[in-house]
Amino acid sequence: MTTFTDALLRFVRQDLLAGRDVDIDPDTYLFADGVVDSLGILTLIAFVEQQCGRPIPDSEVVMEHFRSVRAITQHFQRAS
Amino acid sequence: MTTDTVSTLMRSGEIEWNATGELRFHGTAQAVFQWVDAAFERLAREHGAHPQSAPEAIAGETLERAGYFDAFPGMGIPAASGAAMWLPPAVCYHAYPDLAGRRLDATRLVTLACGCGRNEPVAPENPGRLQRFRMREVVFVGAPTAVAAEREAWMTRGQSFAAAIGLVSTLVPATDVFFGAAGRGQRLIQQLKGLKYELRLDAGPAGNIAAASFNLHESFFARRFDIHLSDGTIAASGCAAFGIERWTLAVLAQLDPEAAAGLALRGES
Repeated sequence: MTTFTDALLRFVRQDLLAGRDVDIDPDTYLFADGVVDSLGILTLIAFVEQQCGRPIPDSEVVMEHFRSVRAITQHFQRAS
Repeated sequence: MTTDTVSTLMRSGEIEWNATGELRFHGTAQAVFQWVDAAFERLAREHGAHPQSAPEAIAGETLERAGYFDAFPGMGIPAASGAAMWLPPAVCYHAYPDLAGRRLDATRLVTLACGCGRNEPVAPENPGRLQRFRMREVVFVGAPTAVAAEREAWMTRGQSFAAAIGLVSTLVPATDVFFGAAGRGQRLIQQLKGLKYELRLDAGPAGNIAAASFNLHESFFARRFDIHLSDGTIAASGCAAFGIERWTLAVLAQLDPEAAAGLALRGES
């Protein structure tokens, strides 16, 4: 497991899902009703931008790249 | 394709734009408007939607409960009867109060139509953007998978209906926020989850306009109106919405005048 994936999993567990009883692994679908909300998506994008060192345009915020921690890692680690 | 027909009808007065952001139709244009309106009602009933009346004003309390004023500050238009009543910003807001507190054992499908109002910026050069307009909706409330399947079916029906009357249409994902908190976050959530699709039609001087939308609300309205499934879980909702003026403009813009008149005279879809 890469450092990027580790850091992202930690962020999702501690910041996005703080205090909520949701089990998260790299393949967990992040956008089930009520998991990542409209505020959560913005903090998630900000975290990924910080990790990959570049801004993420809205056009890149699609399910293919954000479905799970693994999808985020695969797309943004490679593209950064 | 005679894309200048709408301009011609506006010059002749058969289509009249007024400063309250409303289109008035006369003659053949009005006959097309009535045909479109009736055709969508028929389509909804043919596919099992229960018809329901929809008053031309809605209580501010209902819009408050639906989160409308938070999501769209300044967009409401008070009804003539006073600030406690508003023009419905979309006809589906009439559907949720009837289901409030209910436990559903099957997907509920209702269809309703009425004049709606939104405080949009309007200009005569853009006759497709209106402050007052007529909308027909089919609203579906039930289990999330059933609601999603219903939305898919209505996307296909909308495209098929357009093709059957000779209109070229394009189904595209939409990014404008249509419920919940406005702003980039909600827009991106909608984009990610594909919560809103629009059927766009060429409508002459009105441009390529969204004449229908197919929406998933997830549990947003069900939570606010306390609508659950019979197993106690929260329900989901969705809707298919058809803008009658916009379809009328598209028919007049895309079909030759004889075909448009023939459609209006045909009476049946």
